[in-house]
Amino acid sequence: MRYRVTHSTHYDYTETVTLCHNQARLTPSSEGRQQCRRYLLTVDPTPKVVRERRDYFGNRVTYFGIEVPHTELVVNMVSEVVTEAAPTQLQLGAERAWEQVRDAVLFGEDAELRLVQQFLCDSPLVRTMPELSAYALESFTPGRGLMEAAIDLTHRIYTDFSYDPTATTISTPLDQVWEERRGVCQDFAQLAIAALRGIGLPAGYVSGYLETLPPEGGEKLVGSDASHAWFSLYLPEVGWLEFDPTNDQMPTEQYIVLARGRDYADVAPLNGVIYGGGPHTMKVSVDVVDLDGPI
Amino acid sequence: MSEALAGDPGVLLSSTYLDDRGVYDELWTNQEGSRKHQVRGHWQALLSSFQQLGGRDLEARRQEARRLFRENGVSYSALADGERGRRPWELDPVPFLVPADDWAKIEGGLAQRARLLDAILKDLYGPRHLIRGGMVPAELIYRHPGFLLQADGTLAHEERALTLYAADVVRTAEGEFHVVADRTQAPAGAGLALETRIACSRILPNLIRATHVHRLASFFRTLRNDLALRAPHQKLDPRIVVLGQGASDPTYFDHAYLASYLGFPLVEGEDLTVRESHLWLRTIEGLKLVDMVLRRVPDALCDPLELDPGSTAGIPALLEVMRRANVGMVNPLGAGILENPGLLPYLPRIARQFLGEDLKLASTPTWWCGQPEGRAYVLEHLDELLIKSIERGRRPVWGGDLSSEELAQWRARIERDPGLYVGQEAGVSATTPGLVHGELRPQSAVTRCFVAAREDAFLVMPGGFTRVTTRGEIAGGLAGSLQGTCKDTWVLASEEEKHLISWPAKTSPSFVVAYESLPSRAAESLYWVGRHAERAEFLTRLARSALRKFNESRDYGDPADSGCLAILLYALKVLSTGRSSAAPTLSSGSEFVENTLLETVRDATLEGSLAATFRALERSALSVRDRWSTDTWRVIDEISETLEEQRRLPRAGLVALEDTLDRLVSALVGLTGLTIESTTHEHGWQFLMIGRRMERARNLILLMQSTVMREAEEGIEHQLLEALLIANESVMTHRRRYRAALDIASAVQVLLLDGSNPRSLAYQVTELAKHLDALPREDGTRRGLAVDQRALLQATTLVRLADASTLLPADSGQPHQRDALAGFLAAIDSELETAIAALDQAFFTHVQPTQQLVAVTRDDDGSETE
Repeated sequence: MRYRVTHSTHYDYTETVTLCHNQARLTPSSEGRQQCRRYLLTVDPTPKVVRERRDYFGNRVTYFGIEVPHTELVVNMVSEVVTEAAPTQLQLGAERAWEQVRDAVLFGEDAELRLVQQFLCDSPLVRTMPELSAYALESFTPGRGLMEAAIDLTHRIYTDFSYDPTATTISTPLDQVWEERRGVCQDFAQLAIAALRGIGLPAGYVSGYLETLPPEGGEKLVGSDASHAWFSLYLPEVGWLEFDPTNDQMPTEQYIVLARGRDYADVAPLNGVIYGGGPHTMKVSVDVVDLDGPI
Repeated sequence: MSEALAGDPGVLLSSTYLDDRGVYDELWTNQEGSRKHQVRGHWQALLSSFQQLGGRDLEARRQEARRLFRENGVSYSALADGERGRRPWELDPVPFLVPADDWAKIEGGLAQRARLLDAILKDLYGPRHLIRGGMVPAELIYRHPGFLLQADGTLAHEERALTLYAADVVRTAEGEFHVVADRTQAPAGAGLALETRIACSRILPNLIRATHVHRLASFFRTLRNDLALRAPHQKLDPRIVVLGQGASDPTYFDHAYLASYLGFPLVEGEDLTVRESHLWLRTIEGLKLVDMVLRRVPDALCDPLELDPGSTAGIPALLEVMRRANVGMVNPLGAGILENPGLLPYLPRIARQFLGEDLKLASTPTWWCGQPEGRAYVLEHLDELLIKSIERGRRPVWGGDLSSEELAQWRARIERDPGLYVGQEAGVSATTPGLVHGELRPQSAVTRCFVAAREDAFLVMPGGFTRVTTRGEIAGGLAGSLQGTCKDTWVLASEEEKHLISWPAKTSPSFVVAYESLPSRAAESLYWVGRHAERAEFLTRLARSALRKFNESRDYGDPADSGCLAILLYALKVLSTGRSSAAPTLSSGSEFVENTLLETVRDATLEGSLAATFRALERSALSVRDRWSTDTWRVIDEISETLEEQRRLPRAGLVALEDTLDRLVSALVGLTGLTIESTTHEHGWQFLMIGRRMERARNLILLMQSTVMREAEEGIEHQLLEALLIANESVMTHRRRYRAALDIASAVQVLLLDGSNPRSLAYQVTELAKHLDALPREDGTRRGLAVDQRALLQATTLVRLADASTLLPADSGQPHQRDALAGFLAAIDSELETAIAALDQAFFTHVQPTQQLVAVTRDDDGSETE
């Protein structure tokens, strides 16, 4: 598929901002089944300094600093991404018993495996919990194949938890999500990550977009797409497998990857520090358009 | 000499000192096969000197050190525990001695260790061979909060990343030296080491010289020069700042002292800002580029953009500046990973791998529970080990102190998350003599040593900061417990070095005087020091006048006295609270008078009281601690002691109060003298003086407004005017000019209009105008006068044109009201107020509050695809 993604963020301040520093992780990655053909980040007012770099996880990060007084800030990213469907065949070794995978990583004897061990450790927003490990073990029964078990876990999260945007905020801790059995995609992804790390499997966080299809017979609304998140699980010799517990599926070509990390804290699309500004409002709109689809 | 000691152990040594405790003792040794005690060679001369002095004299010197520390503010908790909760360090006059051969081992070991840690740091934030090659378990690094993914790649351009390193060293029971802990983020204690040495050379001036002790000054000179050399931008005179966390930081004294010793401005996060990917200091002359930062702020708090978003101690986008190598950072952000005690067991292997050398100085044996063997050992020996979290800031637990139930709980905790814990040996350590109740007793000690990177090598400070400790504390290192009793660390010169050490007659810090743009926050603090100091003096003098009048009224029973007293008390109330309260009452009993006076002087909870004013003065002074000389600090201390004493007297009566006020006046005059005469007349001084003149001018106006706006009955008025002249130190001037003829016109002339009287309003405004003219103005003088200058020109003109006869017309409309005078005072006051607002706007910090900007891009507008 060929998509154009437009992600705009608009801040309205009640008082003047004299200086602000920001970092954006808004550039889709080029990796595996996805190529980011071109992208353009526009910021208004014009930043004094703009600099792009790669962060620890290889994501593109753009730092920009605005040094003129302003009461509004618009950050607009337009990118063109080509995606392919994830290979459908069960990857080599995916049917390996999950315990084998766990031990292969834990006693990792090569550099890559040792670096992957990072994804076994607690991260800023994800701490393992005995309850979650137990929850994972219901899917990861002794000797079960890794892939099968992971699909089962994804499915159980999808059924056991209700999707409820009003239930949580970014700062809602995992144990509350667990208690209340409700949340949004960020919560479900992080919940799965904690569950997997708790039983010794390396798991990571993926942020991105998902093309939403218009309701039957209806027209697709511009800006109705949104940031999405799912999780990934490492399989030695194969790499990262991805699962979307919010939609009970493995990502398809409709999924666009923005950034990868240990949890949301590593991949926040846009954050900043402003001097002044007072109370403010913010609007975000995301639009994913299929460039080859019917117009 | 040893014979004498063995024959007479009763001299100074405690009766049990020579008992064999089976551990190494710094003082004596038991020769093989002999039962005779032998004082170690390097201790012999010193011990006999101490024995000659005797315990009582040594205790007296400890008192002297206590006084020095208190006066210099050598404390470990500047403002915590409530405002007066500073607890000074105790200095044991008996030093910790390190003979030359032992020092050679420590010095070589620490230099190597610094090299090793530097290599580890650069590897972890670069190629990560240590993790890839399995030399260090990934978990040990990745789960540690000190490992900052954000700092990845920022050290690539650094020749030496670890610039200032500290290690806590102890001597074991067997006599070997071990490193207990490494301090790499922002090591504290170097300032304390200096201050300890200075105090020690005051109380033991001859001994320290005779003992051939290595001096510390050259280490700091080298540190200063090397920091300058290593700063980016290749400037001849780079701007280096010490970044602290303000006076509430428990180790504030330490870094304030270090900053002033090195001659670097002490700044806080708010003083700095990032623009155009460079770091800038806010000064009264605008933003100035900062080349290097010596930081005392922990890693995670340094950059709220990328690290802890809640931090107010840091500077947003600092990491971005570091990435571009636009500022040098000592130490670089991310260095906290090296403080991970779980690394200790891996150091020998890494040393062989990275340096091709064996580790010269061992760490205290430590086991990381993340490894099966380590975990097994720790669980098995839990009751003999110190249990520490690898994360800093959690209190270590000594297994020996735990009940079997608690041990079981700890076992479970470790088994649940083994990677979080290490077990560390905390066995009995060597003993060293310490002064306790006039005799020497064996004590344990831990020494914090400092290492600085040079271009080609690492330099170890020949000395350190030694603390007397207990066993649990030793194992815990100094972390979080920089307090208690300290000792000077005497590194002894070898025979060859002896002639190289020259001791100047007096050791005083060599303050580096260089022109530095004044940080805006410092300007503001200095201005407030000036204002509070002046206000304190003004209130003290007025209170004293009222008190004297009260005594006279009791002695003579003259009704005019009590009338005058009522007005003075009213003025005192108005001046202290800044508000006009109910009109003076004439029939106040003596208890009322006493209470009013006492509370105005000593009730710190009463806004505007003398005690509250003094606290405000202390706070302002403390926030620019690095700018005051020791003498200035001593006077400030004297004032707080005086007030403290007064407060301790429950119903002191007024005799003690008069004495207190007399002492306060002298001390405050002394403070004025010191600040005026001992501060170079740079911009900081101008702000100090502006504060002082401004306060005096406004107080004078308020005093007149609250006393003489209404003509009083003749007897009262005469007494009142006299009291006003006395309170303003102008009675002599008046007498010289007018002989005995005291009336309102002559008083107004002397107090308000006489430009040659340094206490007059005319003098204050003239001086103010001069100080304002001396301030740096952004556009030079081309634009003409600034608002504050204009206001002062107005005020000066008003005063110069004024004339006592017009201000006090013989025949005014309203009988007994002095309207013209009131109008005149109000006009000047309003000009002064304008100037204050303008100054504030032009020169002081107006850092807008920062806030985090988060884009809440949750899928809360419904992205489910069904």
